[in-house]
Amino acid sequence: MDVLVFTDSGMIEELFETIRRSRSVRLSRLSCASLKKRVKEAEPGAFLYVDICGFEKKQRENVLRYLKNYGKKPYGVIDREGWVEDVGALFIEGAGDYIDPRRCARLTIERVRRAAALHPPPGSNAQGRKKEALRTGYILSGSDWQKIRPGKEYTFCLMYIDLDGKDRLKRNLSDDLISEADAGFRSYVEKSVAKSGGMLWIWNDFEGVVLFGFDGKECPAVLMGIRLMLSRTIYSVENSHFNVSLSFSIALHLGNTVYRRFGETGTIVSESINTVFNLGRKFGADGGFYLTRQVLEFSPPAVKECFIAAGRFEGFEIMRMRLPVSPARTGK
Amino acid sequence: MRVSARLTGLAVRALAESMDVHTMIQLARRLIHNYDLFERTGFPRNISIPNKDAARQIVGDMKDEELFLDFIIHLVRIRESGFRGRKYRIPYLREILIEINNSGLVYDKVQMKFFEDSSIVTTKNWGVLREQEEYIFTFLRLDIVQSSRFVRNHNPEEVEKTYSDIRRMVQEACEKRNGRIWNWEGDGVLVAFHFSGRNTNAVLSAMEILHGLYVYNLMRGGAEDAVRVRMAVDSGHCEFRHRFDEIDNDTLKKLEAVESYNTNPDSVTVSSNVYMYLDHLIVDQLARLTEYSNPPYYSYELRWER
Repeated sequence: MDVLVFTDSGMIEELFETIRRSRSVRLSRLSCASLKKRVKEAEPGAFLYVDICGFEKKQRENVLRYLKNYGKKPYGVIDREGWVEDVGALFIEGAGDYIDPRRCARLTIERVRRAAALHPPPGSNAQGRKKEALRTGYILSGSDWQKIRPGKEYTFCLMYIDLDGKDRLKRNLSDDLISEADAGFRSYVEKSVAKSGGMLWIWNDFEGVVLFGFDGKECPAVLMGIRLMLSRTIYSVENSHFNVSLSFSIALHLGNTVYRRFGETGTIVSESINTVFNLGRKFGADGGFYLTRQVLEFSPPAVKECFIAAGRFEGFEIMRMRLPVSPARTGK
Repeated sequence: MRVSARLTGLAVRALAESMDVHTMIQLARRLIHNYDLFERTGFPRNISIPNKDAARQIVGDMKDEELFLDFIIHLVRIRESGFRGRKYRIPYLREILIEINNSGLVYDKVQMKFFEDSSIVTTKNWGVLREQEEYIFTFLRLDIVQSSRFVRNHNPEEVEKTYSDIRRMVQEACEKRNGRIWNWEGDGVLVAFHFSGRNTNAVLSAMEILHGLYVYNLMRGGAEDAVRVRMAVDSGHCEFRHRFDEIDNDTLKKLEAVESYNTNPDSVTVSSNVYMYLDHLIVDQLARLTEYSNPPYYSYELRWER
């Protein structure tokens, strides 16, 4: 969890001492002047503590109004001088915490967590995310396939998956073995994604696209992608039949496309399909799991810790999964 | 296993048409010590018993002694490797195996044993292991770390749901690899693997459980409230008992000690006698635990790029 403290005073160091020592919280101390810029950049799920006395008296009302209406982040107010007259109103208007350092010596992690949960910002719970998603222009396809009709456009979570080193395989295997390997890989992908409601949509020569319905609340494809990445050794041992370590690359993107049945997708023109193909084929390195950042907004908060920034591609911010490595590579 | 009349008939014909009475008796004595065909049939010893009568008596006795499947396995072995230096062509064996398969048992060619088809039925003894007989197993033991604290810090509904999710995860990972859950102790489980590939299957099951739990914890909120487990895999002899509390076995005691005292949370410890049978792709994922040199132990955990 990120906790951002906006203050220009050194007097409240002691207040955050416990938080600073905690491994589960990342504490950042920032200047009051950087408030608006930093709030925009803050990770979803971050909690802000704003030292209201760090602002000019005439600015303080504006700062509270900004936090209430535009900040979209849960926040608490630090009031070193007892400036706030009606503390109750502060809570009604959306603050999660109020601290008067003269009365509170040290904050606990439990208090920060409860404060963060008091007024979840729009988009932080499933219903809120759904409202946000609709406002953003997504055409929700639902969490199952009941409402999806061929020929209509929907928002899907598109997963591109590709077996690494397929050229090497093709050089070394007979045609029969190649088609057997392709069918085996396809069947493995098909069965795996079906557990999370995914449906194999396009498949050709060891690579394909899987569609996951999108209900505006959750994106189960991310967890499925992580699971697939972790299970590559198991796949190599149990399913590949070639006694070599096989790996695959995954790309994930949230976007719109017209839906047609498997095998009837050849004439679809869709920017989202191009994006996910290009992300997997051109941007991603072999063995990687890449996704466009917006997908993470619809994943459980802890999932974000598994991904690191990997640059920009076709106007999207790209994240890459931190990969598991074998003991030899960790030096153990 | 209930042996149908058709299956009995096929076995009698297979035996009668493939060998003479003397060889049949030698074969029967492999399974029933001092088998006396004359005494069992009532034929005087100075009269030769017709092939078909001998075969019918032997197959019937095997059924009565619950040795029918072992007898069929002997026939399969004889067809493949001969008997007392001579080769035999055993007819109807394919039909016999299909018939047994239809009754819910699968033949393991590597181990040369029958076991139940787990897509139809799942029992602790794979439908074939006998009470109080000793077999070689590979065991996987899993323990939930600090389960008392978890129970204390969560409401009963959440505890029940979490434990039931873990049980489902373990069951799915192990039973699809022909493992059998022998015992749940609230916060721990013991799974047995017996048939071919049992070492690989046990380790892969443990790896899958670890991966599944990692993803499960991500859904629950990550490291702060994670459900953590320790797992250990070892193999050895053990007497089969339907009642788990009647099993008193050194392999299991050693396994429990390794899991409890020498295994880190979120990891799997693998003994050297399991390790030596593993595929090189799995071996590459294991690190040798330096604190144990004789015998060595190996560990699997999720290690992340820095």
